Amino acid sequence: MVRAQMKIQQMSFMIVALFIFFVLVGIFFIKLNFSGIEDRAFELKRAEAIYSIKTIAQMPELSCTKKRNFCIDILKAATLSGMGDNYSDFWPVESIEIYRIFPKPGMGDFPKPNWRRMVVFDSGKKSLIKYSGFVSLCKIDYENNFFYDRCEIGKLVLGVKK
Amino acid sequence: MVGFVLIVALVIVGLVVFLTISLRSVPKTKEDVSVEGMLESLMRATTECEISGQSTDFFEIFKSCVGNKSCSNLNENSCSYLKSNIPRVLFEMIKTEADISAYKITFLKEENSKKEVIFSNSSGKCVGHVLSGRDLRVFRNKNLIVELKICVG
Repeated sequence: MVRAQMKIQQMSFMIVALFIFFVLVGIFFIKLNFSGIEDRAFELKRAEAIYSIKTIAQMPELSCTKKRNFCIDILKAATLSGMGDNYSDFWPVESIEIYRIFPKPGMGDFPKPNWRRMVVFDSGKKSLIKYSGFVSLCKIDYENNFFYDRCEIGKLVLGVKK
Repeated sequence: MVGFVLIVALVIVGLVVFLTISLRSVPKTKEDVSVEGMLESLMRATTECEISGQSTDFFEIFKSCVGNKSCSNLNENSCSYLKSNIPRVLFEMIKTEADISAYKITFLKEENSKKEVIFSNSSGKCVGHVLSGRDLRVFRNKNLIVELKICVG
């Protein structure tokens, strides 16, 4: 009688152990698959943001005179920001904003003193997806008989349709 | 009885493998164009430091640091200017990005395949994906390298 009970107990332990083993194997594979999907989603989102920012920053209407990646000519941007809706059909995005990160705003700033944000273009549409990336904001300056690129650090923020 | 012990051993092995893989969360570093853009805009930013009477950017200051020059207008060694200002500017940049949890920037000099760290600075606790970018320029037969790693969660 006792021997038979032992056998049943062994059997039930075995079934429980096997069940736990297969559950663990299942969780392991699900986790492996989902971590791949998460990584791919993250990469796609970043690639889309980078592509948009690079495209806008490389447009001749905004880019620096010297061929450089992620470089915006602040003179061109300031000119375009004053053009209102004239360029509304031209831009492949719904809004273009430039934020100034470094140096801190001051009185000698170009195009106007203490500026922090410049709206280059705004279609007026609401609920947009915003992509942003760091860019150099450069202009040609003259100092001690030399012309040189004076650059600041800025952020290009683009609004695209959802 | 032997079968029972075998099954228990199998479950324990499975559990150990599962826990090892689950807890092993060493983030992989991946090169990223946006980090290169971030690094490029940082290194190209014009500073108040003048070298030979000319306003310079951070990369020129790095070159001056390697060449033992000083900021003529500030009476400050270019290495100490770099060390005190890079973390400050990077902090200003990173505080505008909510998803960056940590960063590490390293300035290296490479000569005859030997790398020497000139200056390194890091901040924050890394959570999520690690993205990196580098800026390499040649100066007096040496490679001057700046590496930036950021953690994006």
